[in-house]
Amino acid sequence: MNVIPDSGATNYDIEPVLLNLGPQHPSTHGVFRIRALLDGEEVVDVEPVFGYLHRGSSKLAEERSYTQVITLTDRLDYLSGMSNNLAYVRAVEALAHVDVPERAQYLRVMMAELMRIASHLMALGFLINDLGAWITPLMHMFREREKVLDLFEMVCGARITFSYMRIGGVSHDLPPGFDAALNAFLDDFAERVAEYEALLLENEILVSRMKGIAPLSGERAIECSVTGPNLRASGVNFDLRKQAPYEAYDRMNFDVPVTQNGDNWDRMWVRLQEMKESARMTRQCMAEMPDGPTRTPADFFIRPPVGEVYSAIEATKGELGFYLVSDGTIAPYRCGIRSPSFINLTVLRELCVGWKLADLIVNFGTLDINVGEVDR
Amino acid sequence: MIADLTRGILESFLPIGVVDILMPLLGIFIVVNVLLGSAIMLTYAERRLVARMQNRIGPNRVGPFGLLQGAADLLKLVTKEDLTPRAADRPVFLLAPVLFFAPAIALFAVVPFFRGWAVADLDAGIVYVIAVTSVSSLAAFAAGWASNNKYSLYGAVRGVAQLVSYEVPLILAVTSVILLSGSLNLQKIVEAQGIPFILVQPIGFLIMLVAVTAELNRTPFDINEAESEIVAGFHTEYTGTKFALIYGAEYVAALGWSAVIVTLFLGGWKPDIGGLIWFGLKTSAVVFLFFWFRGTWPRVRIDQMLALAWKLLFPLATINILVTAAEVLAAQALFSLEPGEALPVIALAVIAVVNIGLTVAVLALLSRVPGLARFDTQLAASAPARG
Amino acid sequence: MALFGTGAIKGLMVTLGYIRRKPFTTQYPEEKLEQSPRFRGNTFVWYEERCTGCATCAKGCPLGIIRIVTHPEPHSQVGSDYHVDVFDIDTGRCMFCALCVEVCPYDALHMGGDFEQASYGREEMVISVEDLKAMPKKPRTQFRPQMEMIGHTGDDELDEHEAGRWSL
Repeated sequence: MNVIPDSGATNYDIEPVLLNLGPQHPSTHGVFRIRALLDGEEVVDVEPVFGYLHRGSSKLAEERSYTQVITLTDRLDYLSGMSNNLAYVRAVEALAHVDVPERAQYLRVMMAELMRIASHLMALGFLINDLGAWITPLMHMFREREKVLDLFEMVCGARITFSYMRIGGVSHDLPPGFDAALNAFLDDFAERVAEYEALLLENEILVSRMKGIAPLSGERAIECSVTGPNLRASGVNFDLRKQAPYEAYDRMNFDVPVTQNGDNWDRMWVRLQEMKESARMTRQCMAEMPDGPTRTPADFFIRPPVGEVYSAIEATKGELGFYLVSDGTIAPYRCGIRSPSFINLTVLRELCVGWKLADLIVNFGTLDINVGEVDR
Repeated sequence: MIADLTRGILESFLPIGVVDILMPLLGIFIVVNVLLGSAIMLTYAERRLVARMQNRIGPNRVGPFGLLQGAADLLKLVTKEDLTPRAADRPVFLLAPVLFFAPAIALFAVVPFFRGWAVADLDAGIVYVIAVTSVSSLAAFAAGWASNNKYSLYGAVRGVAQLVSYEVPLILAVTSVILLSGSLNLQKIVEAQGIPFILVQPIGFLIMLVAVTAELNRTPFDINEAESEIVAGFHTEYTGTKFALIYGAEYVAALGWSAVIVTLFLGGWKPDIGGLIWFGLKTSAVVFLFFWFRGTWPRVRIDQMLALAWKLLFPLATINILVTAAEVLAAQALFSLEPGEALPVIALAVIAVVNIGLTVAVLALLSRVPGLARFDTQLAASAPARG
Repeated sequence: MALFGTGAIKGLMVTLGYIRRKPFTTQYPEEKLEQSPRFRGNTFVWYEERCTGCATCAKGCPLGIIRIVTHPEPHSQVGSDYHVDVFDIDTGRCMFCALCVEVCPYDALHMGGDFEQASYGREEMVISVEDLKAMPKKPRTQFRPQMEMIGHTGDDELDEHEAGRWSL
């Protein structure tokens, strides 16, 4: 931690200030802690400290049957439970060689994309909140998220901890009236996105706070294994939905927004565009969804053959992978989680050093981490 | 009128000397109490208004429509345990809230509420306003330093940098008004406004608005209490009554500065009918503006903010003064006026047209400056992706 | 020609427009949002007549918070040979995943829709067999497609014949 660059403290006789941001702090997105070494307003060094939300998900998974572990994945990144469900059940399906009916694939894509909208709304809302716009954009985005959660509640009865996906499909088919509710939401959502853009994208203050701040080069992003919107903002067109399509993504028409600069503005802008693409995909899913079963029968206490598997999806925050080892019993022998939030934090230090304290908060906000997923 | 009536009633049973002392005290009593009441109501009004901007309802539980929310909050704060951190510099720590509150209230001494009525009709009223309000930077620093907390210290240092920087464009903007009205007396400034000076001095008004927003630590210049960065800035360690004083002082100061803006730029108590109503309405409108900013805009960064003050507002205000001075000199020569004499409406109208044109030109010019330019969303959407 | 500040003013107009609009929020204790039929509340609906005491729900629970004690009592219940003495569900630890409801082979256990179960102690959150018997029989349609087919919304009481996939 005492890495003070030579050009810093040696020139003048001033001791940098060690400022603790967190674990209880208005902008740490949960219980994240940043030990920031500051020279005045300028950030000299940054050390992320985490573990305040460690639940031991990997270990807990070893004690539970494969189906029961789904409930644990809800709680990894609690803002995108559907994506976590999907990543996990896909790993188990690969391990146990279970096929998924086509309707279930569409349902999964639809839920994952709705989840992406909800998660990105939170990312943007809290980001603008970190920028100091009190909570107006946050409240507006919370409202849209509420509507998404209402849809989820219609489908699976829960608003945060869905446990919706099942090994071999999904737990519920769509309820009656879902079609109309979804269309009502999507029609409204297009208007709301236009409103966000009017509220945010042209605001001179916002532009000056975010344009060109903390750029991350594509090469460095790849070196640090950054994934998700953060990687695409740096000009690397990598999206598992396109590169390694899973479920029904190969039948979806969507664009992957990519920007070149990798600065805070781009990271925000990519998320805003991804929400639009997700809305488009959701609409397509609803229109093209075939009839049929939503679940291949699989045992509740499924016993996959001995083996191991790594399976990853493009979750809301990046590549979410599950590494499962089966010893032939009802519980996984090992359940490793590659969480995008945790690995995206690799670049936190180099994004923040040299910028101002106010930028530190924003850089951290644009990385869009979720402490539930960082600590697992 | 009311003052005369009260004086008459008092003189009927008290000696004149006592009445002379009592009258200003009575005025102060009324003003201070009205201010405290309105500060409480302002907190409620802000929360309700910003809540509506956020598609929420806002406080609506205490009393009808939640009108007593401010009173309930005040009671809660006052009855709270009065904590002082052990490491704090106790005398300074206790003094700082008072230092905040006193100038905010003292500001109202010279504000002309209606024709011929101010608590103290000073000839150098505007100088008094600037002198009194500059104390708040001292108070911010005292509070931040005495708290012995890193967040507080950051807030204090930021606060001082901000307040000191923005005094300069503020005073320069005020100077342009003084040039036009030819007087430092706030009453005379109001009387000189044949046309509200917002039209005659649009640049002056904009600079004043920005500088006052900074002076009041309100969004987008609330960097010294930026809650997402330094928790609560200089008042992180304050609780209970002391916090209530700081919090209340912010609203009283917002009201006071709004009143000053109204006096300088919006014609004060003009049109001279209906007593306090016009002044109150205009002041509320300016206060609403501050609430509105807070409900919409993000915060600027400290270096951007200082750059704005020194690199943009300061030169702009200086040029504005020169332009205004030239205009006033021309008008005086044209209408053969004595220096200090108020300009006739026709002269103000001509100056207004010229200055509005200049303002549009300046804003258009600023939008071409790369660092200040608006982001073009269309351009970004068509940016090619790298494989 | 765009003037400096028009972007910020555009944002101001958005928020100003919202002052006229109706708030999105609701006043919770007075007005409650309607839950979807599948909503997983903090209660359970149990049909004693349908339950065989097989304890599959207890096995399906990821947290192991369901405790069932039975004793054989032949021919006292329809379709069952066991009498349920203890059926404790510790809702203080429950995460309402409805896996117990999913695995129940006799459609005896269902999710309830009530969510106002706050209490001052953890021990008060344990639902005992008496509580389960006393609870209103308003099951939600979570994992019960047959209820959705008869148009059940979770607001009406269903008897043990209507709640199951097969009639008794």
